Amino acid sequence: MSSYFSFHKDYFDNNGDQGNLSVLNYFLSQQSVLFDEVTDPESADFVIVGDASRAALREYGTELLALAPALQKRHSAGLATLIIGSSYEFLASQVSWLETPKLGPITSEFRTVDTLDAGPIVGYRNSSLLNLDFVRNGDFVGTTLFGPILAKNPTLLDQMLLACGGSSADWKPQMLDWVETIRESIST
Amino acid sequence: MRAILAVSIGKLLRFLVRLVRPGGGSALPGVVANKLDPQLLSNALSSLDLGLVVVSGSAGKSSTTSYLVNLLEAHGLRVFTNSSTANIRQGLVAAVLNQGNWRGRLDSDIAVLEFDEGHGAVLAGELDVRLAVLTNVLSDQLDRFNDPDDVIEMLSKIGSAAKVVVLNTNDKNLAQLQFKAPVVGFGLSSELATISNPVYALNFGSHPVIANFAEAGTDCVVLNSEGKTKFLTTGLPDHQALNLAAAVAALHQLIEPSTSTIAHVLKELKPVFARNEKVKISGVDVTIRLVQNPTSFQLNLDELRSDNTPLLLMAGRDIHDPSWLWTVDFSKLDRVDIVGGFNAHELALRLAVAGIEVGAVIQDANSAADNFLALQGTGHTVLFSADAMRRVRRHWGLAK
Repeated sequence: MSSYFSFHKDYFDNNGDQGNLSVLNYFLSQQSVLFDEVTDPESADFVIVGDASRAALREYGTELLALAPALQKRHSAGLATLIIGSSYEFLASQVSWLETPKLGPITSEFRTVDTLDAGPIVGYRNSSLLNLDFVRNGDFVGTTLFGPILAKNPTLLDQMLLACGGSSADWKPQMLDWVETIRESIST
Repeated sequence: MRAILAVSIGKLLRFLVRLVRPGGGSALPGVVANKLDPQLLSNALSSLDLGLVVVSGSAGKSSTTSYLVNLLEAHGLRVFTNSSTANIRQGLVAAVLNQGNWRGRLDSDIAVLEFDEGHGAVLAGELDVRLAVLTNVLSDQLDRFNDPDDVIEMLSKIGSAAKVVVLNTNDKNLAQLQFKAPVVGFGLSSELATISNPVYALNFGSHPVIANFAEAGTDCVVLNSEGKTKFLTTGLPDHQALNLAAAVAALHQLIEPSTSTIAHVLKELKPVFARNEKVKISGVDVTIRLVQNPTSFQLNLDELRSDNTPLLLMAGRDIHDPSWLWTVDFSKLDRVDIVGGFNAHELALRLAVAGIEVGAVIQDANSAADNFLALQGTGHTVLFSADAMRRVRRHWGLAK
């Protein structure tokens, strides 16, 4: 059995970030690994804090800041965590253990980020953060690449599946073709 | 003189472009004419006796504009309007080129224009706006607008430029806005509010109460005027009733309408194209539905019945970042026969992860449409985004 914590998943899903949970659940269920929601981010195998509107951050920003100590522990230990888009921007501006962001004009475009651990990571960014598209410490990831990033980056997905007690994704060939087409399209 | 030059060159360009691409090419002539005479649009509109009405918001612009135009025309007025694909500056200038004379003057009494939220916020400040209709704020086109807060600000600017604001009171993003001009409300009747639940952009603030002049009811529009209530029946589906209420509310601020004329129009109105439109293509009956954002995709999916097969879903090039497809709940579906359009692969992946069988993925919109028509079945249904819709409608001969 595996578990996840998602911070106000109905509101922190501006751009389909909760789709990452769908992807993990899809492959974990193939592997007969139960993937249940828990309310404690410290005990969860996987934590996601999705991108949110300014209205949601105004409402839940204080609550998100209260989670910072638990998230810092996960960061130090490199535990599987995805903090995405505006939530990452918000947290990084408030805590010292995340790289202090430099802000610039909002840029909205597809990006490919070369990483040591997971190869090229592709996604769409819509953020005013400069040069912080994808940072990680172990399996703790902060990214401005929102949406279902795990669906489009199979190596990163495998790493998160392993962190959730599963094994590498067993893609249907047809689905993997679609993923490759999407990645190619973004890269070019 | 400047206007004549701009219009002449614009019309010539339009003619030349249409030689190459029949039915298309409104952008370039509009851009050039606007460059030659930046006042062309404002001069054309300022000469209209009954002024300019603008309709803006995340969704419902085209339908509301169309219904208001129908209502005004039924009252004998000549209305200048734009198509939904021409709701930014160059498109509006192109509409002047198309419908105006050589001096750019319009033979119309009133203009009713659909405004893109972003472009409209700039345009409204340059124009003399008599009335603005604000439909709603959805979490939509975030790759363009970044955050619904920005859309609220844009609509606030559009409303602030108007002498009367007609707005959707159910959307508290709009109800919270402060205008110097009088505000007239439209919304859902209490009856329809219990069965219809539009999802507006997230807002945790209070919901100011604004009286509704017109309300969308089940098969009717309810008018609350001078202490009296009138019921006007309509054959339009419930989800169009709110747009209709907006149009009826706006109409009453523009002219003194005839109740019997409104009643007649409401009975005869058909949904704007591609809103659950029924067409026959090569002998096959097809239902086509436009989906433009998570809300409209969900709404259209929710309305599908089990006999809506074969099913074609298309995500075109207009969906710049298709991530939002992952916010749509597709669990109602078991199978999609063909997934098409520029973003077909992302849509197919999203469906597959949700456990939905995908028959085929065909990125080319025309091929997808052809293969779809060849499928067996009696309930051919297409859900497509605007870009895919334009391509398929042209391919099927439904548009030039």
